This record gives sequence, structure tokens and C-alpha cells, in this order.
Amino acid sequence: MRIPKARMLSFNASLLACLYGVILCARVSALDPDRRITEFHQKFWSEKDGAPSQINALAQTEDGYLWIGSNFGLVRFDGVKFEEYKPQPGVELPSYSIYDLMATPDGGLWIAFEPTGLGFLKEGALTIFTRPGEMPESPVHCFARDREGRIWAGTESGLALRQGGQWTSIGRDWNLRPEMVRALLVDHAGTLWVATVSRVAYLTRGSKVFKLGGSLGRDVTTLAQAGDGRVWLADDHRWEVRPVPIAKEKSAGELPVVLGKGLRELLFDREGALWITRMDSGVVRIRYPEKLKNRGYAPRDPELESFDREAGFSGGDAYKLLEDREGNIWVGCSNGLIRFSYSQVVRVNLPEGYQNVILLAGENSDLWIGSVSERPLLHLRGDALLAEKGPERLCSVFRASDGEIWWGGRTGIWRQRAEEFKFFPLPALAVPDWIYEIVPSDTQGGLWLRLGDVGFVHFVQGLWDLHDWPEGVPSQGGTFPYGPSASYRDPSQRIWLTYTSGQVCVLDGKHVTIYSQRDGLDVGRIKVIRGRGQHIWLGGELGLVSFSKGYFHKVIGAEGEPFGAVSGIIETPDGGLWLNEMRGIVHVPSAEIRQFLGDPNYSVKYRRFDYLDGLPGAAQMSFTNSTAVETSDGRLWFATDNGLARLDPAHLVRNPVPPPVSIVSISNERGHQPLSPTLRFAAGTRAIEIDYAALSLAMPERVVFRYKLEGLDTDWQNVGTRRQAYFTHLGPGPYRFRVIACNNDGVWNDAGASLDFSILPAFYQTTWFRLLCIAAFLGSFGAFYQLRLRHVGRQFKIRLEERTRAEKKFRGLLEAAPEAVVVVNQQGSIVLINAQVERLFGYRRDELLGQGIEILIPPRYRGDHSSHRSHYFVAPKVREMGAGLELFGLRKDGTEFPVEISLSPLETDEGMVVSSAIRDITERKRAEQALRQSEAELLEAQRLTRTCSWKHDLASGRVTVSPEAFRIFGVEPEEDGSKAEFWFDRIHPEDRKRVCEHFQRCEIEKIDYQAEYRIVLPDGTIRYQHSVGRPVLNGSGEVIEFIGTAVDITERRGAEQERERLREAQAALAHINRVSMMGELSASLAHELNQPIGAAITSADACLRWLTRDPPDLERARAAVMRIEKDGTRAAQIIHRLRSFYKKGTPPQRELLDVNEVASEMVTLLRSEANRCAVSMRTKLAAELPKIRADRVQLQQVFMNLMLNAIEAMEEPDGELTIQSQLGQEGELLISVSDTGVGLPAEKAGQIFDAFFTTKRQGSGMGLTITRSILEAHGGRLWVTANAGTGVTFHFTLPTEVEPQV
Amino acid sequence: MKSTDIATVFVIDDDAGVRQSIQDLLESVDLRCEVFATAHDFLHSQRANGPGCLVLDVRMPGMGGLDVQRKLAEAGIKIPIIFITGHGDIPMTVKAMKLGAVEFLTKPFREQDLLDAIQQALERDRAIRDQQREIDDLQKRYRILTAREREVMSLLVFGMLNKQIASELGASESTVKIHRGHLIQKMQAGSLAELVTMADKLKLATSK
Repeated sequence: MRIPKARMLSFNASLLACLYGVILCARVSALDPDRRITEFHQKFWSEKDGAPSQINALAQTEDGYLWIGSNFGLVRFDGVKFEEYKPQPGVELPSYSIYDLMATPDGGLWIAFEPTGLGFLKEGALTIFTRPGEMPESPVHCFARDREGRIWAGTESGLALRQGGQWTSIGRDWNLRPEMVRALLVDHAGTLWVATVSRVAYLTRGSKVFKLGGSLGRDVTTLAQAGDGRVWLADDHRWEVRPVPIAKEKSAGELPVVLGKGLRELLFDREGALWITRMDSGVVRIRYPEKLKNRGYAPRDPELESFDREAGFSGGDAYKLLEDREGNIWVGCSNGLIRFSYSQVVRVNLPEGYQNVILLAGENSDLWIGSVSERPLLHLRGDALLAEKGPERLCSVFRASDGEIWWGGRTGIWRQRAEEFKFFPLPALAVPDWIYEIVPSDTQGGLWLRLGDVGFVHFVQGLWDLHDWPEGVPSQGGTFPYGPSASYRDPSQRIWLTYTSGQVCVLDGKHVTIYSQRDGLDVGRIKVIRGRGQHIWLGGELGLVSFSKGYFHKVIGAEGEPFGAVSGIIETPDGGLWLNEMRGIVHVPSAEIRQFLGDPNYSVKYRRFDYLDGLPGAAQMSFTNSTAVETSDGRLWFATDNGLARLDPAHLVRNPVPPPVSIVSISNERGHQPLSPTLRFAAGTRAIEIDYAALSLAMPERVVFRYKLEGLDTDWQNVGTRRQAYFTHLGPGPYRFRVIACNNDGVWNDAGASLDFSILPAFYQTTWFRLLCIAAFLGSFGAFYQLRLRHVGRQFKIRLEERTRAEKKFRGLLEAAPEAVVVVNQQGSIVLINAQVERLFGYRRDELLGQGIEILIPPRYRGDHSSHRSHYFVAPKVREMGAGLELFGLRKDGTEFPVEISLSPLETDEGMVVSSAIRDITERKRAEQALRQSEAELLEAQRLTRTCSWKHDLASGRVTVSPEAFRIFGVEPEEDGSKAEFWFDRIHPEDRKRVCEHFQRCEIEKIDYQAEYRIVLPDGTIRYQHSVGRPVLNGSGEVIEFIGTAVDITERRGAEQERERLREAQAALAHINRVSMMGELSASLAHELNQPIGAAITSADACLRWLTRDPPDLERARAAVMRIEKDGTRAAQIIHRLRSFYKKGTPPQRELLDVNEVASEMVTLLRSEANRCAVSMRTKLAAELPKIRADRVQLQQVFMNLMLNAIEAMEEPDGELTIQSQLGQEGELLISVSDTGVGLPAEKAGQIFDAFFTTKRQGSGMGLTITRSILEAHGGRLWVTANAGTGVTFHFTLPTEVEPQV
Repeated sequence: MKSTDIATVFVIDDDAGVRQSIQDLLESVDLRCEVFATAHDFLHSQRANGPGCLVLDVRMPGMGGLDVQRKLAEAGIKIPIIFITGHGDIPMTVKAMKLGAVEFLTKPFREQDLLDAIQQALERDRAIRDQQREIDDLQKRYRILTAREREVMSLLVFGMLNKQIASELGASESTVKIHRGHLIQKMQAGSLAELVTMADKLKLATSK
């Protein structure tokens, strides 16, 4: 585990801060009384940051932690994280409400619980006192600890003293009235002060008699000691804060501060300022309370600063005050916790609109602030901010050697003499633009002004010369696209001009030198040039360079890093350098600068001031030529993109308090382990996590740490601000974790904190286990050697076996042949057979070898066979045996079977042999038989269906037909039907031409043929026929013939005409259904129409109002009229859609439709009805569905029926209706309409499509019947399924294929 | 004044035409108006608790107007509601008015009726808010009382004397007096009578 680089850098930055701190002599941190309360850095933690609310008590213990007692528990804070305090196991808090806390120098913390109970927390162990005697008789309100270390408690009934673990009431024997104590204080002299409800009394060191501090108001809330030793009180009855009047002392006559009600707590900080919390009014601070002498403060006294809600106080009610050891002031509030700490940088509030400013230091510690906006020039003198009349929109400034100041603006140049301004406008001929830069042209007051991007104009004695150009300066273009960005006149009167392109041009009289990157000038666009004496600094986008002895040297930080973009440079009289840099204000002390000037390779140490130091934003990078100046009082001013910042180098403060370091927790894989000096982790622990903290509360963000795990690390690890260490892969053994930290100013606590722990070894990490491992290794090596020997032997055996197997392969091939092979010699004896023979004929091999071949032939063929065999040997060749004859084989069991035999002669050493391959063809014979059977059946089927088949050979014009053709056409089978004309002539004369032409077209286009026509039988009867055919192509793609069938459809035609009449009846019924549906919907449809009409009327009203306004707003009126037009159109569309529903759609007209479109239309139409029934409608429509051919109105009706059914089924509110469309597996459209309604009882599922069946109170029972018949007429289907949850889904399909032609 | 403090008329209607026309009408009389297409949008807009009133369509897909009214009531948001509907029936109107609707308008409505109803609703809202602010203020003061002071206060407003309270709490009478002084001061009550009124507003009187 190593530290990431980013952390290294942040660490190193702090290290530099540390070195820097040593270099710079600074005052100790505290809240400077000369600053306003709003100029301190203040931070607020609310509940959302983890802080408790309703804070009653605050205390800082010796280890540096801040303890917070609230109504809701005790919380510990390390500046970063709030942790609720939980006592050690077995101890319970008497209550979660804390009344008061007090830290003791021995590291303890006293806790007063409300309503009763005391606690003392030390070294992580909490002791609770609840028994009588262990705690005072009545509830404790406050604590005090005197110089002798005695603990006093102010209780509800009087003062109590803790002696020997017991509490004693302090009463009249000590000259103290036993009454409720409100506040206790031990002052610097060791005197104990007690404020009761009626008086303040005090007990000097060693005395046992209280003295009266004066009879007082009834409601003293607190006591505090001022820097001069006097004790002050706050009296919330009289609403005043004042010193306790001691009888016979002068102060008795002093006037109090009167503040108003709600006084809670007083605190004098180490600078002597008085802080006061007020219940409802935030925090009040009095910078110089000693100035009070005999003078009363009115509530609006300017010396009395109030940080209340108006000023940004968001704590709610302020209760408790604490100054920590670093001098920060903490305020416990009802809404959280506030810290006031010193910030090095102070934001200067400017009026609104001053975003891009230009700064100029005046003569008497005053500052001039110009702005590029249309805002007047400001003059800051002391605390007063004055606006000058006149100069505005300024972007450059130049102080001439004669003390005159020139301000470059947008339209001209202003001359400032003391506080007098004179404006010289640009001549009318010039293009108006910004004057970006002002350069002296001579020593007599002439000026070169850089005007916009045009270039220079010359301005001498109030006169303009637009065409004069500084001699030798490169003109625009090329490497100098713009004019100079900054300029400087050095003591030897040379003029330096810098360019945004990165070059520098030096004019020495008429001599011009140009420097560029080659000369080490490596800062990108140059933004600023400043010098004092002979050394010159240039700042640009890539950092800072210095010029000396003809060469530029880049300034590099101590870690080798260059600076970021620099827009302002201040060189202080001591030679130190301040930069307005991209990431903050950078200070390089003079000693570092001297080192650098002596050795340009020296890396400078520096300090950066950023938001943590109070810087309001990043450096202003805009085009003004002065963003950082030093006023004559030594204060520095920087322009940022979020306002003006001020820094006083003479008053930089330093936090000298090294932060106490503590280890918070340690954990391993099993979670947190209690911290103890002898911490041991079990064997097998590999990962350890340690949380630690350093208690610097001023700026915890800058606290950095180093740690070292002794036993693992040899060096310190720089871990930056990380507050956790994590170690993995730890072996067994003892470890010591050490951590040290430094505060925000690099002050290290080198003692730090440490923690010892050890990890016990696991059995496998012990020595005897390792020895055992070595023995085991040797043993297994021996075993491996044995195994290797055995393996080699086995390989040898395998090789041998392979050789034997190859020999077997040939015989295997013969045996594996699919056919039975019998080899016969010239004598007709069997010499070789394979296994197939044994299987086929049922003989064993030894039964056949040597036998005559005739044993395998049925006896009736044997005679012929022997003569055939003799003939074969005369002219042996490869051939089939017994061509054209049926051959049979004879099995051993005497059965015969059909065979096919092929013969091949084979010349061998023993003379000619014949090899015969024998195939069993029983199966083939059986198939032939089946084919004959099916042909007969086809003929029968053709007869029954009155279908004939035909084949038309195009080349010859010959036609072959099945016998059924003769029967269909009523001609005798004997007639010659082989000519095509024979058949075409029998087609009805009116149809003949059409059919012939169609046939010819199919022939040419090589497409399927299909025709319906009438034929005339010889007896004059007319019958209807439907014929289809398919072209048959030859290899070259020409049609050689058509084959097809023709069916007599006369009977079918009659049925179709019947169906047509039924369809008409259905259409009429469907219309009735539509009209009745519309009736049911009338209320919803009225609402649907009402919407656009109502909207139109309202728009018309609005329009009238826009028109009658004074002046009339025609634009808004026009918009209203356009809405009226839109709403009117909408109403018309609704009516149009309805009208088609009322129309009688006879006959149904099929057109190509998009189902999704129809579905969406219906959703729109039924929207109101769905709303009325609190049903929401959803569609899940598949994109790019093919169109279907259907009747639009009927399809709408299908949707409407199903959707209305669904809506009515959902009586409960929040029903959901879903319409889904998708493409089915066979290319048909699948549409479903589902509801979340009551569902369908199983016993009724079968009936719903029946006519006159209904489950509704009002319903004809025709809806679903009609829907189904519409869908079936379109070739679709309708069915219903129950949903997995509630309700049902109706599904229907619609075919997508286009209707067949002709 | 922050922009969120200006009273706003929130219009919820699923019909874009109706929505726009009402918005335009309200803007023509310089009322600040925000429109929502669904009740859901409105309830999640963080504006539900801002000052103003609600113009609500009764019938909408998903959550209807009466559901919105119920939801707001459950969430303790007391924004006055004006219902508009295409076809109001009497039972629905009665139900809505019982739940505190300001007005129930049937579309198409006269614009003056809507504007009158909105004026009435905004006044009602202002009154509710003033009242709420006072109670918030009291609750804030009450929160800073200690547990003991709260006990004393509840007994005090119940009409008990210091002596009785002391015996009830087992404390001394002087202690009770101190608590009493503190709590009257913290509650910023001018008199015991005022404290009783405050307790009543905080609904403490019933705690014993």
C-alpha cells in the first residue's frame, strides 16, 4: 500500500507551508480585535453535517477533542467528524439530555445530566454517579474547578463541594445563602465566583467565607472574567451586561451595557473582545469592552457588532460560547455549531456589478477601483467607499512619471490629477473600441494607446494621431496577431511590450529587440509585467518568468512544479513577491527571491492562500491590466472572479499550537477491537485498519499526518490529510503504529501517538510447520520419480498394441461393408464371406465356407444358375446379375427374400474368383407396392371431390389428364383428350378468352396459374370450375409444361351466395350495436367535446382581457386566438370521427389499414369514458406492423366493444386497460385487450360469445357475438384468457396476407 | 421576498388546451400561475407546499382530482382547492365541498366565476398560513424549554398554583417560581392568560 501522488502533493504543500512558517515571522493566531466580526472565517455545522442540535454545553478536553452536550446526547468532535459518545459496555447514561460539561486539566470531563445524574469521563471510561451522596442533593446546573483542584457544583438548591468522593452542601456556615446557583467562575487569581438567583458572591483563595459582590438582578445567566481581571455578569432580567460591582471599588459606579433580552453567555477572548450570545439575536461582539468606562452602550452603537440573522447567522438560538486552545470561538446553537476563526484573507464587499475590476493604489493608503461595467470608479479610503462621477467602463490604467494617472476606457481616455478627472474622447474617425494598454511614448508625456485589436494610436498633449506607429514595433499579423497585452518602462527608459502570442518587444530609443520562447520566455499568453529596479517579472498563462542578463528564467516551486496562470504581480519593498495566481494568492518570501536571483535553477519555497484562508474566488483573469496592487499602508489587494480580497502581510497570524494526536480505533477483518496496551490479534489476521485524529480545530482541512508501522515500514509515510491507515498482508509478529501530525501552519507534534499490537502466528507460519513442509517435499519428490518410471513402461506397451491393430484393420473393412459379400471360385465353391452374409442368410461362417454357392439359391432356380455361372466365367465383367429378373435368396430356415446382386471378377493366385455383393431389397419391394396402392386411392379421392389433375406440355400442346377429367366434363373416356383445344373448347364462350389469355400470361411470366370459369357439358349443363396450375421449368429456365388440377365448384358457389346474405344481416346488426354503444357513451362524449369548447371559451375571455388592457397586449391576444382555432378544429375532429360511426356501412369496404392507428384513435375517443371510470389506458403497440385489409368502421367497432367491456369490468378505481399489438408467429397480427377487472367465472367462460348472453345489468348480449362475427368475416379469430393477476384478456388475430388475385 | 413566497395558482388538468387557456386567463389578470399535466407531477414538484391555491380537474387518468384532495389532506398540506369538471354530479360535488373545496365549477364556466373563486381561495390560503406561522413560532419557543419547564408549564396552564405544582413535582416552591419565570420569558408570554392561550394553540391543555 503506497500513497497516491495527489496526496503526496497536498502533503508537500503543507510541508512548504511549514518551511514558509519558519521563514516568515508572524503573530500568533487569535481573532484580531480590529477586524469586524464579519471579516472572520465562520463555519456552520448543522444537523445535515452530523452536528447535534439544541446544544447546551461545550468543553474541550486535554486531548483536544471538542465535546458537545445537547438535549439529544453527548457528541465528540475532532473538527472533521461528529461522533455520538457511547459509554463502555455495561455502563448506561442516566439520560440523553446534557446540562453542562467541564473539562479538567487531568484529561477528565465532568458531565451534568438532566434532570439528574453526574458523570465523569476519563481515558475512555465513564463513571456514573446516581446514588445519593455520590452527587449533590439537587440537580447540577454548572461546574467549577478551583486552583486546589476541588470540584464545585452549582445546583438547583445551592452550592456543593466534592470532597473525598462525597458532596457537601455549602451554606450559611460559608456565608452563602442556599439558593439556586446560576453560574460559577474561578478567576485568574483563583477566586471562586458564584451567581445565585439573587446575588453574586466570591470566595478568595484559602478563605471559607463568601463575600457579597453586590445585590443584583434576579436573573444572572453567566459570569466571565475580562482581561483586566474584573468579573462581568449578564443579567437577563434587566437586559444588561456589566462588571460585577464590588462594594468600595471604583467600578461600582460604572454604567452597564444595555443590550436587550435573551442574554445567555459571556466570553472574553484572548484579545480581550467580549462575545455575548443572545437567544433570538445571534452573537454580539464588543471589540474594546475596556472603553466602556462610565459610558453606556446603546443598542445601535457601532462598536457593538451584531452577527444576527440579517448578517447571515443561521444557528437559530445561540446558547453556549467556548474559546478553544487555538483561539477559535465556538458557539453552540439550537440549530448546530458555529466556529469563528481567523482568516488571513478578507473579502472586501463592493457594490453590485463590479465583476471585472482594475486596481490602482492611491497616494495615502487609498485604493481606486475601476470596472469594465457601466459602474463608476470607486475610491476606497479607510472604511469609506466613494463613487466618482464620470469615469466608468475602464480596462487599463497607467501612472505617468509626473504623477498624472491615465484611465483607458471604452470610448476614450481619462486623465486624473489628484481627484480631478478630464475626459479625452476618441476622435470620430477612430473605430470605437477598448483602450487595452497605455504606454509612454516619450518622456514628455506622450502616450501610445493600444486601441482594440487594431493597434496603436498616438496621444500627445490632448491631441490624437491615428496613424502614428511606434517605430520598430512589428505591425499586426504573422506572429503578432494582436497588440501588446502589457507594458513596463524600466529605469533606463526602455519600454517593454508583451504580447498575448508570448513574445516581448523592448524599445530602446529607436533600437528594438524581440524576445521569444527561444530566449526562455515560456509562459504562454503574457498577462502582466512588473518590475522594480533592474529585475523584471512576467506573468502569463503558464506561470512566472524573470528577466536578467538578456535571458528569461522560469520560476519553479520547491517540488519542481511551475505556477499556474498569473494575472497580477506585486513586489513588496522587502523584495518578496505576491502573485494573483489561478489557484490562490501566492507569496514567495524575499529570502527565496534572493536565492533565485542568485541561482536561476533554484526552486523557491512559497505559500499559497486559498479559500481555506478566506479567498473569495479564483484570480481575475480578464483583460484589465492591473489585478493586484499594494497600497502605501502595506496592505495588498487582489481582484478575484468573486470579488475583491485584502491581505495584510504585516498581520499574518500563525497557529503555534501543535495538535494533540490520538488513535481513535483499530479494527481487523472481524471489526473494531477495543484499544488496549496489549492488543493481540488472532492467527490469520492479515488486514489492520487504524483510525487516528489530530486535534487542531482551527483548520482541520490542512492538518496532515505521517505514520510508520514499526515492524513493516522503515521510514515515515507521508499520508497527507488522510485519517485512516490500512495495512494488508501483515505477517505474524509484534508491531508498533506511530502517527504524528502538524497543524495548518506546519507546526508538528513530533511525539504524536503510538499503539502496540501483535499478530499471533498461525500453525503454518511456525518453524516446526516449515520443517514439516520440507520433509513432505522430499517425500513427494521420491514418489514422483517412481511414477515417471511406470509411465515410460506403459508407453512402450501401447506402441506394440498399435502394430497389431493395423493388421486387423483390413479384415475389419471387409466385415464393415454394408452389403453381404460372397467370393466364389470357378468351381462354384464359397471361399470367403463377411459377417453380413451370416446375418442375411442365417448361416454360420464355417457352415458356408467350401460349400457350393447354390446352397443360397431357392431350389427352383438352382439348375439355371449353374449354367449361368459357367457362362460368366467365359466373359467375366462387372455387371448386375439377372438383369430384368426378380432374384431371390434362400435363408438357412428355408424362407426366401428378394435380392439384387452385382458381380465382379477377381484374378487371384488361386485363379479367377467372383465376388458377389448381395443386397436385400424386401423394403423397396414393399414401397413399390404401397405406391401402387396410393395411386388407386388418389383416383378415388379425385372422383369423390370432383377434382381432376392435368399436365399440359407446351412444346407439343399435348395434355394428359386424370380419368376424373372425363367425368367432370361429361365426355366419354374413349375420346381423345390429348389436345389442349379439346378442353379449352369446353369452357363457356364468355369465359374462354379470359382463361386463355390468363394462361398465356402465366406461361410468359412463368407464374402460377389460377382461374375460375364455367364449362358447358355436352348436354348443355353449365358447371363452375376452379383450376390451378404450376409451371415446370427445364434446366435453362424455360417453361416446358404446366401441371395442375381443376375442381368442380358448382355446389360451393351456391353456399357462398347464402353467406353473402348473412353478411349483410350482420352488418346491419353491427350498425345497431354501434349506435347503441354511442348512446351509452353519450355522457363521456359530451365531456370530450366540452373540453375543447370550454378551453376555447376561456381563451376567448383571456383574449378579451389582453385586448382591453392598457396598452393592449396584442401578442398575447393573438396567441389566445390561435388556441381558439386549435380547440375548434379539435372539436370538429371529434364530431367527424363520431359521424362515421353512425353511418350505415353497407357493404363493408375493405381497405389497407394500420391497426395501431385504429387502436390509437379508439383510445382517444374513449379517453373520457375511461377517466370517468378512473381507468387508465396503456398501449403497447409493436412498431412497423404490416397493414391489413379490413373495414375501418368494423375494426373500430371491434376495439370499441372490447375496450368498453374492459372498462365496465373494472368497477374498482385504478383499473388499467392495456392494448397490445404484435406480429404472430405465422405472420398474422395478434392484438389483445386486457383489463384488471373482476375476471370471468370459469363456468361462464364458454358462454360469453353466445348471442344474448350478458353479465351486465344493461346489455344486449350481442356485443361479443358481433365482434366475433366481424373478426371471423375478416379471417381472424377471437378468444379470451384469464390473466395471471386479475381480469381477463381478449385476444384476436387478423391475417396480413394480401387477398389472392383473380 | 423570495420568488417562492409569491402566491401561485397551480392548475392541474390533463387536457393541454384547457390548461393553456386557464393559464393565459390568469396571466391576463396578473396572477402567477403554474400548470401540471398530472397530479403526480404536481405532488412531486416541491411546490405543493408553497403559498397559493389549486385549480383541479376532477377527472384525470391515474390519480383523479378527489384523490389529489385526499392525498394533500393526508400529507397535511392545506392548500385550498377549486374543482373544475366537464360534468359534475351532485354526490361528487358534495363530497368535494365536504373535504374543504372552495368551489366546484362545471365546464364551460364563466371566467369571472373562476377568478372570484381563485381570489377567495388565495385569501383563505393566506389566513391558513398566518395561523400556521403563529403556531410554528410558538412551537419554536416551546422547543427551547427544558423538560422540567415543560412539566411546569403543563401544570400551570392546567390552573395549578405554584404550591400545588411544587408538591406535584416534588420540588421547592421557589424552584417552581424560577421555572415559571423562565418559561414565561422563553415563551414570550405577557401574562399567564396569554400563556394559557398559547398552550391551547399548541394543544397542550389536554396533555394532563
